[in-house]
Parts: sequence; C-alpha cells; structure tokens
Amino acid sequence: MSKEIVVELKNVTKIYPMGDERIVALDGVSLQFERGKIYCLLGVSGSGKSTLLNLIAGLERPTNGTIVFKGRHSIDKMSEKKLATFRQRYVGFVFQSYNLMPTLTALENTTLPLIFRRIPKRTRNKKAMEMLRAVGLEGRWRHKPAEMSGGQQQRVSIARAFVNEPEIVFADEPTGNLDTKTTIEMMNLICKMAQVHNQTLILVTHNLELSRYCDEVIHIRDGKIEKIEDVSADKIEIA
Amino acid sequence: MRIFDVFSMALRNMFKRKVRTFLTVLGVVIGSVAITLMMSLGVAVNLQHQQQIEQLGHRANRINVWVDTWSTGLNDIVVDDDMVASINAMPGVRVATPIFTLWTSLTFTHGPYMADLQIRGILPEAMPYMGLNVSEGRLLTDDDDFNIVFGSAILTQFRHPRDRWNWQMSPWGDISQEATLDVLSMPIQAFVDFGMEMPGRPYMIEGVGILDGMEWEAQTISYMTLDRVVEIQRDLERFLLSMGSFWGTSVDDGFSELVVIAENADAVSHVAEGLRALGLENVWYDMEWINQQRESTESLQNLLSAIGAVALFVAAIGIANTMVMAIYERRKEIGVMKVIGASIKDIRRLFLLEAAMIGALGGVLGMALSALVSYIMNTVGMPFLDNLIWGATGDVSVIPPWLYMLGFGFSCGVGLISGFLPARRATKISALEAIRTS
Ligand SMILES: Nc1ncnc2c1ncn2[C@@H]1O[C@H](COP(=O)(O)OP(=O)(O)OP(=O)(O)O)[C@@H](O)[C@H]1O
Ligand SMILES: [Mg+2]
Repeated sequence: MSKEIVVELKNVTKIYPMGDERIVALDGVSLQFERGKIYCLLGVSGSGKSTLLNLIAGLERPTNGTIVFKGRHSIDKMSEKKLATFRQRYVGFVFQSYNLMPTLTALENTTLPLIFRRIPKRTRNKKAMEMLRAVGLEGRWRHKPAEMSGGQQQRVSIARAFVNEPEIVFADEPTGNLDTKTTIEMMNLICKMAQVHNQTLILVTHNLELSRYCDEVIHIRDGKIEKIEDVSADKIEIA
Repeated sequence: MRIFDVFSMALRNMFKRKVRTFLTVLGVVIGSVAITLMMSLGVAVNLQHQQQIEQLGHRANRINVWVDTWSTGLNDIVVDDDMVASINAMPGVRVATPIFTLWTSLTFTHGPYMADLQIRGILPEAMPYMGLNVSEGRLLTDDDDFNIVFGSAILTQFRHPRDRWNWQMSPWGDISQEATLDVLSMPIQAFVDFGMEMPGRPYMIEGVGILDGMEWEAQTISYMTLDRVVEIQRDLERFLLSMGSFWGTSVDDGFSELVVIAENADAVSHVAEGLRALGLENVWYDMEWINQQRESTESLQNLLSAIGAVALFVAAIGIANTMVMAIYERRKEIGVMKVIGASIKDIRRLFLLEAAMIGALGGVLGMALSALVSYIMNTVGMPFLDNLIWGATGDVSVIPPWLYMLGFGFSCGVGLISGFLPARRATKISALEAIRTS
C-alpha cells in the first residue's frame, strides 16, 4: 500500500512577539501526515500543540517554513478567499467548546459548512440528517444548542465537522469538557467516522489514554518534535 | 452563501436581541417619520402654490404695466410702437400689446336703441392670451378695419333713448320683446357723444364677435384694433383742440397701459425684471405675490427638513452602534464561521444585510406612522397649523407616493451606510477567535 501524504510541514517556525520578548511556539517542525491515519499530538500545556494545529488549518500563518497540502498548495501562502474555499472543501474542525451557533437548530448548525458552499437546501438538509443519524441525534434536529447537553452539543459539532466530507479533521481537545464515559463515546464516534471515509484525523490532547485510538503519537515539547511513536499495534478496534 | 441563506441568517441574528433591535428600529422610525413629515409640509405648500397658479389661469402669465403720461420730465419713458415692438422681441415674451382706452364712450345706434360703449384698442394677437373668448362670431384679426368685438353684456347695453340713463332698469329694458337683436349682421352707426355731437363722420362699425364670460374685461368693454381706436382718438383730440378744451397728453405721446404675456408662469418674473430694466416702474403681476409667499415659506421648509435630517442622522448612529455591539458580541461566532468555511464576502453581507433590514423595517413602520400622523395633522391639527403657518386652505401635510418611496429608501440607505464600517470590521476578525477561550 503506497502512502499518500495529505499535509507536509517543512521546517515550520512560529514566533509570537510579546513586547520585547519573542515566544517561540514552534521551532523548526517538519512532519508528514498520511491519508486515513489518526494522529495524536501530545505534550504539556504551552508546548505548541494548538499552534501546530492552527497553522495546518490555515487559521494562522507560520513565521518561517511552509505547509504543503497534497503536495501542491502552500496553505501558508493562500489568500483569505482561497483559505475559505480550502476550509469548505478539505477541512473539518471539532472544537473543545463545541462552538455551535446559538440561534440555529442542530440541523442548521450541521448544514452550516454546506451553506457556505452554496449547496441547495434539499441536498444539504438530507446530508445533514444523515450525519445527525450517524451521531445518534436524528430525533433532536430541531433543538437549539441551549436545549442540549454538552455531549449532545459535541455530537452536533462532530456531525458538522464531517458533513462536508473533509480530507483532514482537526480536533483540539474535543473531550476536554466531557466526563470519562462521554469521552469514550465521542472518541469512538470521531475515530469511526474518520475511518469509514478514510480521512486523516489530527487530535490534540493531554490525555495519554486517548493515544490508544491513534496510529501515531507525536510528542511535542517546547515547540519541537520530541519523538514520533507508531502505536498502531495497540490501537483500539472500534466496532 | 446563497442570498436567501444570508437573508434568513441575518433575520435570525436581528431578532436574537429583541429589545435592542426594537430600540434601534424605533430610532429609524422616528428619523424617517420626521423627515417624511417635514417634507410632506413642503409638498403641501408647493401644492397650494400650484393650485393658486392654476386658479390664476391665463393671469399667471400676465404682466400689467402702467406708464405715467401726464407728468413730463426729461427721463420720462415713452411707450410707442417701437418700444412695443422691442418688448415683443424680448425672450420669454409671447406677446405684448398696448391697451388704449378711448377717452370717451362711443354711442352705437341700432334701430330705436342706443348703447354707450367703452372701447379699447388692442393688438389682435394678444386677445386669446388675455382670457378673451367669443361666444359668437370671432376675435379680431390684423386685417380688421372698423370692426368691433362686443363685450358679453352688449345686449343689455342697448336701451331705448328714454331709458338711456336709467341704470336701475332691468337688463333688456323694454327691448325684451326684441331679444333677437342682431348686432353682428351689418355695420352699426357709431358717434362720439359729449351731450353735444362731434361733427364729422359717424363711424360705420361692423361687429365681428361677442365675448364670452363674466370677467370685467370681457363683459362691458368692447374691443377694436389699436390702429382704429387711435384714429378715432385723434379725431377726438382735433375736435377738442378746436373747441379749446383739450388738455393732457396726446395719444401720440405714448401709451399709458401695456399688457405683456409671458410664455409661461415661470418666465413671468424674468420678463418683469426685463421690463423694469427698460425703465418701466409700474410693473405688476399676480405671480409676484405667489412667488414672494413661496420664498417666505421656503426658509421654513428648509429648517423643518434640517430637523428631519438630524433625526435620521441620529438613527444612523443608532444603527452603527447596534452593529458594532453585535459584532463585539459575536466575535467568537464570526471566528467559528470562518473556520468552517465562511468567506469574507459572506460575513460582510451578513452584517450589511442585518443593518439594512433594521433600516428597512424602520422605514416600513415609519411610513405607516407617517401616513397616520399626516392624516391626524390634516384633520385634527389643520385649523391650528393653518393659521400659524400659511393661512391658506387645503391639507397641511401631503405625502405623495414618491415621498413614501423616498422615506423608505432613505431608511434602507441609512441602514446600509451605517452598517458599512461595522461590516468591514466584522470581516477583519480573525478565525482564531473561534479557539480563544473567553
Ligand atoms: N496569540 C499568542 N500570542 C502570544 N503567545 C502565544 C499565542 N498563542 C500561543 N502563544 C504561546 O505559544 C506557546 C504555545 O501555545 P499553544 O496554545 O500552542 O500551547 P498548547 O500546547 O496548545 O497548550 P494547552 O495544552 O494549554 O492548550 C505558549 O507559550 C503560548 O503562551
Ligand atoms: Mg491548546
């Protein structure tokens, strides 16, 4: 099986100027992410995990180095307009604090990425209902975020991240606000969805337990890659 | 995003904060009502002016000029044929004619009946523009010689000699049985009568028409061509001179009255200025006081419109403030939308549309309220305002369809304009806001 590189970081550095000081959040990081694999970014607080994720998702631009998507496009050089299209087509995002639109129902929140892609209403509602069914919330499609529990909101958020069939899904501490039982449910859900569609999943966490869902664990310390561990042998089998 | 989706999402955001939206819309309502009502007062005034001009009819175009021919001085202006010709050539002038009234009445005889008629000489082409129309026959033409157009009361002016000076008599007097008295079929003998008879020719004058209408100029005055009336006047002056009782200025020293017809009501004041520039001092026209009245109300209108504009401006600030606050509140939402694929254009349109909808909603409600307040002003408040402001009759406040559209358009425009900068600000918000924990 030939491996397909989805994203490649080449010598990426991110420096935040803070007054006179310069905070080096990422220091010459080079990495490759393969299609269909699940990655876990592990490191202590302040080590640069979120920064790495934001750079790949194009939310921020690196100070140095380049990030290449599918061997052709440099994410760091895209215009705002290109970035919007890039996110519409290829990126899904699961937030720690769910970040659903409070005025929209579960269904509407799920369709939002498709709305930005100008998909007609019938098509996008059908697709979103499928996603809600997959996350076990089809009965709740009418509900507003305020009427749902944290776990349920995170399910909607997962449905929203996968609805546009992205190539990479980012999840920055997706279970940080959830209890253990719900965490396991969410992890099962996310990993299963990524697996089914052969999508790349990049997961940020403190939780060593969660590394058991992954193929590779990337250890970060002080903005540098400490080591990359292949843990696919120990990977939990998801039904 | 499809425009319909932008629309429904903006609508939802708008009603998320009901009280704030309500207050902002209220600001727009007040602003649009203020400007619409203020302008409606101006429309009403203009409408009244228009009606006054319409009521004037042909007089709206008319200028009367009197020239003092009695006192003589070095710089006295003489209105002769040349002067009349040059006035006729002035831009904006349709026709100018001297009005020359024969110094004495002409006595017309018809069978046993006699009529003492006041005669005016006039240039025939001016007649139609002075509101003179015939009920029978025709008006004068340049080719007419000793021809006359009688006033509309001509048949009541013929009386039997024994009743000649009895003005108490009912019209027709004792010729009522001869109601078919025909004054147009053949020449009538006419002579100048001072109580004693002027020797020389009795004039044989043929009637060509009878005027229509009850205006004094059409009722008891009869018209002949200027040349013929001047000719009769010269005969008269010669006679008086021979009697040693001529005084005053001769008709050959210039005319004392002119009527100038402008091409339209708007040209009147301009023509009047031209006449005054020629040195004519006694220039009068009905449009003058209408124009003066308009000028005096215009400054009031401007003041009122300025008040309306200020109210609308305050409403614009209200919208801008609301939008800035909304964007501040929704920084995180905007960031999230960007992360999941919203383009800059989507975000700009979302906020611009929300602002425009606040304006539009305020506009719709404002126009409805304007209609109501305008109605109340015209019924309840009219007598009061009427006396206070212009003392004319009619509606105080008139809102034509175009003003409704203008008021609504203003509101939408104010929404769009005041939403512009906040919307730009919204697009500048970073996608990172989605991640940032508050
Ligand atoms: N916008 C910023 N401005 C300045 N410094 C920043 C900014 N964002 C991150 N940093 C710094 O960069 C470093 C890496 O931050 P990052 O958020 O990537 O850490 P993290 O590994 O995600 O930590 P955590 O587990 O607590 O989320 C930290 O020292 C942080 O203070
Ligand atoms: Mg982090």
